Amino acid sequence: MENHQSAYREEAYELLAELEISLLELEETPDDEDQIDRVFRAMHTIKGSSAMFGFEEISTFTHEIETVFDLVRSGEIPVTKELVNYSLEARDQIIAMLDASQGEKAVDAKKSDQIINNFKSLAKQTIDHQKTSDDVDTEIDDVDTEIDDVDSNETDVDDEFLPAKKVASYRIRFKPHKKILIDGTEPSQLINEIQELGDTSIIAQTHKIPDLVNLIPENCYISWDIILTTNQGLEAIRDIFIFIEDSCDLSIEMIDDIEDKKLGQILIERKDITSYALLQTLNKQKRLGEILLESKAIEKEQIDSALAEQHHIRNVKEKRNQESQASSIRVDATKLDTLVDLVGELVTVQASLSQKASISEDSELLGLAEQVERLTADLRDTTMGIRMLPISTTFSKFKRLIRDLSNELGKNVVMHTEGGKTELDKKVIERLNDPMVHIIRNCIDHGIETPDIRQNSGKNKTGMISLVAIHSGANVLIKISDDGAGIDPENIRQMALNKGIISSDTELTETETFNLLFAPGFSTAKTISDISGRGVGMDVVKSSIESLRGTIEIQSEIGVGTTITLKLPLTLAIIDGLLVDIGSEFYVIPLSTVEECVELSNEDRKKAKDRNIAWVRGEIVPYIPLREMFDIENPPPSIEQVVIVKIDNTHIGLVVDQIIGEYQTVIKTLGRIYQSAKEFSGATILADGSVALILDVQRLAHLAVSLEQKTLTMN
Amino acid sequence: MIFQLDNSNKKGVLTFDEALTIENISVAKELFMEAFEKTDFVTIQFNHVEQIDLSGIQLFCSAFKTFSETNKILTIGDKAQALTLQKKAKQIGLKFNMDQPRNES
Repeated sequence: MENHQSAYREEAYELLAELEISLLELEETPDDEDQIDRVFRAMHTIKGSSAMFGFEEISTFTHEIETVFDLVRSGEIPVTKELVNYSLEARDQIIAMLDASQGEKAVDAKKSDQIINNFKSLAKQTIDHQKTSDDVDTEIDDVDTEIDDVDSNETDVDDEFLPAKKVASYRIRFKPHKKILIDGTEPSQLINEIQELGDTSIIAQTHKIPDLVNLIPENCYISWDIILTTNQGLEAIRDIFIFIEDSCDLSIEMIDDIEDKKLGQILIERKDITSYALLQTLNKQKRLGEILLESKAIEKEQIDSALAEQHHIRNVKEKRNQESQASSIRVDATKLDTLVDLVGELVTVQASLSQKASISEDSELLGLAEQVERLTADLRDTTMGIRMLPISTTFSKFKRLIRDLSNELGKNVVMHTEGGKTELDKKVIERLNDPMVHIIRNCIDHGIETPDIRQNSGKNKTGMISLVAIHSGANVLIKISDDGAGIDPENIRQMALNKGIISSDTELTETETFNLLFAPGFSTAKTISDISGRGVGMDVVKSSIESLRGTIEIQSEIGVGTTITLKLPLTLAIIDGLLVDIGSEFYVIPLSTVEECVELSNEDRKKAKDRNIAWVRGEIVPYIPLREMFDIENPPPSIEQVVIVKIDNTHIGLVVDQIIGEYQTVIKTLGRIYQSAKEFSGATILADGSVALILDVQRLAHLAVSLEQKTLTMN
Repeated sequence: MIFQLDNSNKKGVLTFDEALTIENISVAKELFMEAFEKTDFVTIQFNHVEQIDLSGIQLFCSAFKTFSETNKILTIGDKAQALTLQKKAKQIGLKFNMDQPRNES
C-alpha cells in the first residue's frame, strides 16, 4: 500500500502543478472551456485517487472545490479573479495536506475550513441568484445539501455542457492481478469512474472465481471487458488506471468510430480465437465475393476495388491504433541516476578497451572496440536524453510567483517566456529553481516600477518579466529580463564604498560594478522588504549557479531594464573535457570554457618580464601557472601550453605542460576529505585507470585574483 | 456475522451485520463454508450492512456457484436486499442469479 501511496503522491504533485498552470491560464482566458474542463478533471482525479489511497482529508476537501467547478463547467458560475484566487489557495492547501502526510508541518485545519467556506459561499451566491431569478419560493436551508444535489446530478451536467469533442469507442480489457485487493485497491471504483466518462457496456469475466473450497477470498479473480464510447480521449481513460498500472494487465484499444464489425473480426481482436482457427472455419464456406461472382451479380474488378479499399482502411486503422497506444512510462528518478552512473562506468571501461585495442595488432579486437565505442556513445547520448526535461517545467512555476508578488506589491506584471522547449538535465533544472526565484523576486521588487511611476515615465502601466532559454553549444543560456527602472551603476559604487567593499580610487568597468551585486551582504535597496533586499541573496544565487558549473552575468540600462543571463551546462554527469598534463599528473578542463591554446616559451616569459601575462594577437591575457599553484616540483618543459578560458567575459590562461586532447569526462564527485580543494570540481577515471582531477576554472580564477591581491598587500 | 441452524437442523440462516469487505472476508468465507457443510438450504440476511466491496461480491459469486453446483439452495431472505445486491453487481458488469425466497407451503 505504501508503494501505491507514494505513487499517488507523486502523481498528485504533478497534477497540482498542472492545475496551477491551468488556473493561471484560466485567469487570462476565463471563457476557455478546455481550461475549465482541465481544472475540473484535475480536481476530479485528485478527489477520486485520494479516496482510493486513503487520503480522506484531501478527498473531502477537493470534493467541495470540484463541486463548484462543476457549476463553472455548466456555466452557472463565472470564472472571476476571486474564483481563481480561491482555487489557487485550495491547490496550495492540498499540497500542504500532501506534505503533511509525509511528516511535514501539520495542515492548518482552520484555513481548510475557510477555503471551503469561500467556495460554498460562491456556490450559495449562485444558487441564491438562480432561485431568485426562477422565482422559486423555497429557501435554501442548507448549502451543503444543495451542493451535494448538484454533485449527484453530475451526469446530466456533463451531457449538457461538455465541449464538442470527437466521440470514439474504446475496448478496455482490465485484468487486475490477484493481489490487487490486498494492496488496498478497489477495482469496482475504477469501473465506476470509467462509467462517468461515457456510455459503457461492462462485462465482468467471473468464470475464474473458484468454488468456496478453493476460493482465497482476498484474491481477485474477476476481470473486465469494457466498451466505452466517450469524447474524453485515451488519456482520460489511462488517467483512471494511472496508480495501478503495475497491479493489472490493461489494454485500451480504440475500436474506431462506432462501426458494425463482423463476429469473426471481434473475436480475433479480443484474442478469443486465432485468425488461423477462424480461417480454417471460413475456408469451409465460400466467400461473399465468390458467391457474388458465381451469381454474376457483380464484376471481378468491382470486387477487387472494394477489397483494395478495405485493405487501405484496415492499414490506416491499424496505424491509428498503434499511435493511440504509444505511451510513456513512469520511472523512478533514482533508477535513472543509477543508469547514468552505469553508463558512466561503461564509458570509462570502453575508453580503456579502445586504448588496449589501439596498441594491440589484433584488427578483430580493434573492430570490436570501435563497435563498442559507437554503441557506448549512442547509449550515453540516449541515456542523457532520458534525463533531459524541457525548461518550461520550471518556467511555468514562476507564473504564479509573478502573479502573487505583483499583487502583493501593487504592481502590474506579466510574464513572457520563450524557448520553453529547450532541454536541460533534470538535476540542473531542479537546482535552478531557488536562484531563479530569487532573481525574479528582485526583478519585481526592485526592477519593475509601480503603475503610476511607469505611466509617468511614458511606459506601459504593466511591466514585463521575460524568461528566455536558448541553446549555446554545450550550454543553455537563460535570460531573465525586466523592463523596469534598471540598475544605476553609481548607486552600486556608492553602496560598495559605504560598505568598504571598494576604496574611492578603485576603477571599475560597468561589468565589474554590476558584479559587486554578488558580493556577500551587498544590497542597493533603500528599504528592506519581505520580498527581497536583505542583501543575502545574490551572492548565494551566484554560488548556486557556479555549483552547477554555470555563470551569471548582469546587463542593465537605467530606465530601460535589466537582464540577468545564466549560462548553464546541459548536463552534470558527463562533459566534454580537454585532457592536459602537468608534471606526471593529468587534469581535465571543461571544454565549454576553452577558447584556444597557445604556446608559452621562455622567450615569451622574458618578453613579459616574468609577469604572468601572455600576448595573444596583441591582447594581454593574464595566466595562472598551475604548476606553481599545485606545488608540482618537476621542472617544466621548455615550451609550455596556455589554455585560454573565458570567465565572466574575461580571458584567462591556464599554463600546463602539454595538451593530450579532447576527453569524454565522466564526472565523479570528490570525497569529503577533498572538500577544501576548491580549485577542483570533481575527478574522472582515465582509460588506464588513473585519476584526473577536473579543474573548476571559475574558482581557479577567483583564487588567482585573491592570491595576487595578497601578494600585492604583502609587498 | 453469524450462522445459525433452525430447530430442524435442515435450514440455516447466515446473518451479516457489518461491512463485508477485504478486512473480514476470510471470516465470512468460513461462515459460508460452515453453512455449506451443515445444511442444504441457507438464507442470507443483511442487517445494516453498509458496505460490500469487490471481495464481498466475489464471495457471493463463489458461494452461489458452489451451492448451485451441488443442488443446494442459497438465497437472500429479503427481496429488496437481493435486488440491491444484484444492482450493485450489475453496476460493475456482474450477472448472477440469486434464488429468491421461496414460498414454502
